[in-house]
Amino acid sequence: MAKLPISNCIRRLRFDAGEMTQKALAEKLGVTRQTVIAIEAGKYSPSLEVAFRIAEVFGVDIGQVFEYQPASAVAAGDQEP
Amino acid sequence: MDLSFHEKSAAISLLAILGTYGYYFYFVFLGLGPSSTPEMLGWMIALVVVLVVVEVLFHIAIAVFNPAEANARTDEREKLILLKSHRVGYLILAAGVMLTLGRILFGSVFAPEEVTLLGIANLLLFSFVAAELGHYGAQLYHYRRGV
Repeated sequence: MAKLPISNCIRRLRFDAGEMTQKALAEKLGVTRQTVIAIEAGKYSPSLEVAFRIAEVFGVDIGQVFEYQPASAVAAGDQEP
Repeated sequence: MDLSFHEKSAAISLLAILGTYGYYFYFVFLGLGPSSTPEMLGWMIALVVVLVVVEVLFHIAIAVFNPAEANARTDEREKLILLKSHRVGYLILAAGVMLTLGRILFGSVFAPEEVTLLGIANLLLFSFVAAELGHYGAQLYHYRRGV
């Protein structure tokens, strides 16, 4: 599976929010814990709605949660040792 | 390994189908399967009963261990996985139907004695089973590797 062009810092945001568990975040978002795991691991890009809800849960702007990396940057990152 | 209820459900269905219909086609490929369509009907009823019982029992078992997950609604990632895996199943089934159609049309022209109702029924059943295996296999792939 190709690396997704969107990275996120949900792990750090959970840590900053008092070590919020993935399960607690999943319950707030209305998704399964496995979906939170997949988003954190970059295996799934959430819908815009869930992305906004994640930002809302942590009280930050959506741009502080997700970062778009152009395809060329992702390809270059894949080739690095 | 951390599996969601739906992922466990897909794995159970995959193994149950593989076990029941794998057993049937093992005999068919050995030439020991049903020799008539009424006999095949008997096999089908028995296999469906076994499949349903196995699926229900295992689904109850995984639901008992995690009732909250079993009752949770399907989220957006799971819906996307279902859509993608249904597409895989559809493509396999469509290929199987075309293969069966080819077998009927070309077989009736070039070797009509080899085209039997039982053979066609088995080919259709094989297509359906392959489609289901592809469908559940694709689900498990996407659950593990991402969507």
